[in-house]
Amino acid sequence: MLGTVFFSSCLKDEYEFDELSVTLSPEIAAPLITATIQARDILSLVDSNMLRENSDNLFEFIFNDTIYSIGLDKFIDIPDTVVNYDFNLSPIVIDDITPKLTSIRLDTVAKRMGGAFYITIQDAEGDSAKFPEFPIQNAGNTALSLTGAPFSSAKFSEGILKLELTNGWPTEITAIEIAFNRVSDGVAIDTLKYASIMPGETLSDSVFLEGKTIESEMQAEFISLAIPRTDNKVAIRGSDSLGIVISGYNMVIVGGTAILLDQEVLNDTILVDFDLGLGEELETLVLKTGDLDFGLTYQINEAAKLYVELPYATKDGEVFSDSISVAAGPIVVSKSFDLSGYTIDLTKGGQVYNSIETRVKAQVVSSGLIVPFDTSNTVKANVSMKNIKPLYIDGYFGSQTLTMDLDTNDFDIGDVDILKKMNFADPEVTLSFCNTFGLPIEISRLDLIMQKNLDQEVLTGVDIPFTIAGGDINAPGTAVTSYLVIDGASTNIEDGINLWPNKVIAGFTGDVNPSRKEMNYATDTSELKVTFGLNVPFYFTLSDYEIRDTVELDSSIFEHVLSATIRANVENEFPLEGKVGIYVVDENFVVLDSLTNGLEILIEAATVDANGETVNVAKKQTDLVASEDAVFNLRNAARLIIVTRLGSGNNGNAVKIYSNYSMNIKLGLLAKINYELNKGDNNEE
Amino acid sequence: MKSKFLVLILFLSGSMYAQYPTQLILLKDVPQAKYYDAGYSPHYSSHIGFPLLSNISATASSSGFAMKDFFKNKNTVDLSGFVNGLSNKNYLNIGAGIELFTLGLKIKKNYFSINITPKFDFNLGYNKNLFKFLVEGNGGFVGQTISFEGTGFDASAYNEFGFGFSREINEKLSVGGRLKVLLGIANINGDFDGVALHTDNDNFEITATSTFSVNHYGVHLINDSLSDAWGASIVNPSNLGYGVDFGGSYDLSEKLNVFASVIDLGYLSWKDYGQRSYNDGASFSFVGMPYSIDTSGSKESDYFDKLSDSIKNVFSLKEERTSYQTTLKTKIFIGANYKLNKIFDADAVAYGRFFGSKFYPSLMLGVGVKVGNWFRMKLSYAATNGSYDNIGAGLVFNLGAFQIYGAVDDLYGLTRLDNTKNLTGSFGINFVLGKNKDDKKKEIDKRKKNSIPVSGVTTSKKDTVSKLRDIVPVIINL
Repeated sequence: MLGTVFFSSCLKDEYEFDELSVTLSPEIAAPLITATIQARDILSLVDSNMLRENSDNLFEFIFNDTIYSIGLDKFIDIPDTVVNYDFNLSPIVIDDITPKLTSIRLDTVAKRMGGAFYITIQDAEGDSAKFPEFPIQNAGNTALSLTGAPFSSAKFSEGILKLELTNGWPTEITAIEIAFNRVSDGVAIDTLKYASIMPGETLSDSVFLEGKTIESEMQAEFISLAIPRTDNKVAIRGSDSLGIVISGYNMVIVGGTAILLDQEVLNDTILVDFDLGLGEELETLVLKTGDLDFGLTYQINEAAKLYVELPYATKDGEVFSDSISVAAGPIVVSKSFDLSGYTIDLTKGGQVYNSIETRVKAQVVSSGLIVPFDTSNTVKANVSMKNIKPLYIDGYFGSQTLTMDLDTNDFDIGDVDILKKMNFADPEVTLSFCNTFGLPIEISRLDLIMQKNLDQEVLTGVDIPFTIAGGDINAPGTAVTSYLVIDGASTNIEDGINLWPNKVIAGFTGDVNPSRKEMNYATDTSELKVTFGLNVPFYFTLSDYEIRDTVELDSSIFEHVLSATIRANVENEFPLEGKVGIYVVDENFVVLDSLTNGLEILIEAATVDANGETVNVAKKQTDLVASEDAVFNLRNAARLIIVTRLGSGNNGNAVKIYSNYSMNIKLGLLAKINYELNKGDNNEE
Repeated sequence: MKSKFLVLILFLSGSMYAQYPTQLILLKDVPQAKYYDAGYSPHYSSHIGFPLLSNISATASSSGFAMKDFFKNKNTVDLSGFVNGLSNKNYLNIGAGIELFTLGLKIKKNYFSINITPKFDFNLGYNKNLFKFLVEGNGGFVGQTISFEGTGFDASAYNEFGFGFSREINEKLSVGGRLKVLLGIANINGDFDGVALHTDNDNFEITATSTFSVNHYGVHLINDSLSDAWGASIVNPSNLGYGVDFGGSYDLSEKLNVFASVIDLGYLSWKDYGQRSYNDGASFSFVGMPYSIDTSGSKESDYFDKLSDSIKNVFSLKEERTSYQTTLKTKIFIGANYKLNKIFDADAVAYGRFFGSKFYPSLMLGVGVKVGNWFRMKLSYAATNGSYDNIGAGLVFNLGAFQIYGAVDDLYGLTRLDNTKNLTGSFGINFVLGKNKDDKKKEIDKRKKNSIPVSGVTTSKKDTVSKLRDIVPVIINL
């Protein structure tokens, strides 16, 4: 211990321990970063919904969008049909009126006359006497009843009322004028005149009823009669009568009040003919919806029943038949019949096409009561078939042209810059025509334009005409899809896709039933859907895709660095080459130095064969050296500008990217550090 | 607390005894020379070491560097210069000691001796790459593995109870040895051969492998609670070991003697209260911060926290109670002594020391002056520890039975401490009896053999003085 003290005191003279400076200048090698970039990591950079790998692990863009769709209503649109008609009540023919007798007694007349005539008659009652003279005068009324007539008042369009006058008085009556009056208003329907009627004589006459209104209770008014002077003595009896017998024949009533008997007032067939104008010959229609509407304005004062039948419309084996009960009018009645589910034979059993037959029958239902009526009473009927929507329809849909007008579809396959720079070698567009109609269509013209802002490429070379197959009538509803593949073999689709378009303008014209008349069908869900499908495999060339990145520098990290080397080791399965340039710039972006010799290849591209598939793993080791001068510049720098230029290399051959490719990157740093410890200054440098 | 005090005494003052200067092997008069020359049969009849002063030794030996190697000039540290001066495998030994007691007795042709010597010895082996890595970093080892093979240390404190024996087989040959019973006090040793650091060429990926263990015995000596918990005593009688020294000396001629000896061949057991901290085949690679294309922002702090935790987990040391053995640091000496005349002689000794799996050789050449039996001086030149300017000296004064001696392997180094790699010295006082009797008997035997009269043989003081007179002109002429 003593020796240590002794010896150390000697050394103090040789060394200045209080003024020691120590310089540490190690060279440190350490790994910086290790990274493995899988091809699937690329999915994170683009919309993964579109980028996927196929069964061969090749990446490809898949884009699908429906650009056109039409349903049944494009081909078959059955319009609403309305039929209006009206009918009137028919004149009523009534039974003949059996003769009805009515009379007026002598004593009644005498009493009415009063005076000497009455006294004479009264005095001569039962005796034979000279029948007193009776000057011409009104002899009064007597009721004339048409008992049992089926009317109380009736206007006739025809008919005969026969009147027979029998003189039952014992004297000649002269200047007879008899008026037949209606009791209700006293209006004479006719006047009969007889010059003379001898005792016991019967005179008959007919009243033509055309246009006349008679009542079942009439009145015979003896407007005038006279009894001439006679010297003969006759038996005078007050009970002797003038008899009137009335009967009616061939009577047809057109109005009035009467008992309306049960009678058919309407029996008609309505034919709805769907003339769609394109030569359609529709045979069977199964209705998804359909309404048969009746609107009735009914003026007849008796109830009725309206019968409706669609003889060629069946549902569950039953023909459509229904009725509408109509109360006594005037009344407005409406009713709608639901025809959904009915199968309608539009051929009427093979007779025609495109027709729906409706039979309508109207029957008056007599109440047995006398009701007012007039043959001018009308029944107005409004029959309509509306909302005819097929559930199924077949037949020949005609020869018509189907047109999809040019329509612009936004087309977004991603906005990643690098993809826009790629020149894809084998893109493919597939137009899928999914047809659930039993209806063949032939595309005769196809317009397809790829557009990117102001640039566009019109597709040429497509194999047209192209037939879209129709479905099998034995399996309705089964979709049949026809594919029109547009690839680069004969078209310029590559040019279009390599625009990296953001719009697709498409349109086409097609002919339905192009070749012949055949049985078509459609259901309510039938549609023709056109899908635009894009398949862009990652088979491309890429040239000089540049990425620039600016990294802010904290120059203090270089304070103790003398020199540095970054070693990059890249094992690359991708057929992509990367050149990198690293530039040291100051605050004003003035280039102070470069850590690379221009753009250096840091990532070597794997070599591909004729099919664009890699045959090796490219390995590259690069040292980026920052000499002492460069480090000095780094201390004065504000930022690094890193320029990366990617390309597919391989002498411009197209390359493919498979999902199992990967790139291993290892970066390491070899730095010479300088660190001075100065004990004498009591600080560290 | 008592135990701590006791250990402190043992280490600092009482009984530390380590390397002896190699010079000592040339000083045959000194009984302590037998600690290196086991086969030497002394010319004296007995010896007693002055208690606590029979041998005071200090050693500082570095094969790799001298202090000056750290400095470029008086105030500038040059760590690179220090590293560049190292050999591939280097060795550092530090020790000091005081012998408790020694005693020897010659009976006829046999010499018996005993000694009680607590010893402390610290050895460090290291390779150049370790410091090259620490100072210069791993940048110069890209694509290579920095192996710490040859790096290890050992520090032992133990009591040696030595029983020496040597015998003159005949006039020319003597053999001898020492059986040492060792009682271990404390030990710590570690082996870092399995530690390596590889820096990959591709991206400087660093792979550290670690297979090492550190055994230690004696923590309980300074930790009362541990001592109580284990029920351990200061001295563990189970910590026994055995060592043996053996050698031989042969007079090829009257003038030429050759000798060889093996010293400290043995082991020590550390029983019951030893501990082992080890790491068995751990390996960790730092490949850089992982980068993923789809991470939304790097999480550097998380990464380095996890990295730190991983490293800790991988390299965490396992601990276990254990018993183990250590070996003594065996030394080999082969030498020759040539007597030019009665006064002058020359020596050559090749020697070396084992540490770990490496042998550290040295060479010493010496010339000596002997004046009667009372004064001997040796000057030596040694090439050792990669230094070739070690001028040593040894002096022995025999004043009657009182003997005082001192030896230094690098005298010049004492004046240039920053330059020396080998500072070893001893000093001691013995009582050596019967030196002249033995020489006289040999002279008589020799004359008898050569038919020379024996009457001229005397050991009187007068004769001694006259002999001095004979020597002085010789010295002047030298």
